Amino acid sequence: MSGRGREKSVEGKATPPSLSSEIEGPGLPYWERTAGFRESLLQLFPRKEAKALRRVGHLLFYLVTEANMPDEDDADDSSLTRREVEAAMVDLRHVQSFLAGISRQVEDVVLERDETRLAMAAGEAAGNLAAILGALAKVLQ
Amino acid sequence: MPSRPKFIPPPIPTGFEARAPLREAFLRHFTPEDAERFRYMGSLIYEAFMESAQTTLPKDLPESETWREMNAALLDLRFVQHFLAETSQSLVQSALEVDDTQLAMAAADFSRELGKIADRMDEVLG
Repeated sequence: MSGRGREKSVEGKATPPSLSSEIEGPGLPYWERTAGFRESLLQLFPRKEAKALRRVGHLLFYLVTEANMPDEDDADDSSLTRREVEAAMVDLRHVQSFLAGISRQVEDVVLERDETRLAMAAGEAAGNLAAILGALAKVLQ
Repeated sequence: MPSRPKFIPPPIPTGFEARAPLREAFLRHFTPEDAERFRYMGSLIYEAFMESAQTTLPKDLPESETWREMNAALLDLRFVQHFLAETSQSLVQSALEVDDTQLAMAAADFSRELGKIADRMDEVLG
């Protein structure tokens, strides 16, 4: 995770991609459309390729949920709700760790002022998520 | 003039798989063995991809790497927020056992909390 120079627009500010269009697009809910690959991977790709991979991930998710594959060796009698919350916790832990990694750039890389602000905000969010993860783990005990 | 406190980045837990490209919400549909195979395959693909990054990754992206990573983290956080909200829907759509009712209610609370953190990140990203 190293800082890459941001291209400035005429106003001196980078033009961000439309986040709301990713989340509030028509059709299926956002989480379902993006249930395959993590965005921490997809951000490495150009937007067009990332969009294609997002669709592949959704297709895989759709196939596996439609297939409803029985697991004859499954000795785990946890409820569906518990399994979902456990999966959410693992995914959240990944986000928290990823954010913590971003915040390390403050120490490891020479950042521009805007990036320093972002990296510090990432650290703050990671700290807040750590508290939520602790509470979530207690609920699952 | 008071000096600014030094920024201390939060710790990264051991066992964090930075190279885990597939969501757990997806992998939970597989047997533990198959999920592990998927994780392994995902790691291999990620590693192979990163090894060839110098030649395959675009160099002229309009946003900084920090911005892209933060944006990706926000999208992943929104995913968990909405996934937990979906889990809590079982409170109105299913007849749950007491334990599961508590879990689903907690999922709703955590989803709201994550929403606040995500909103804050959204503001910072601009």
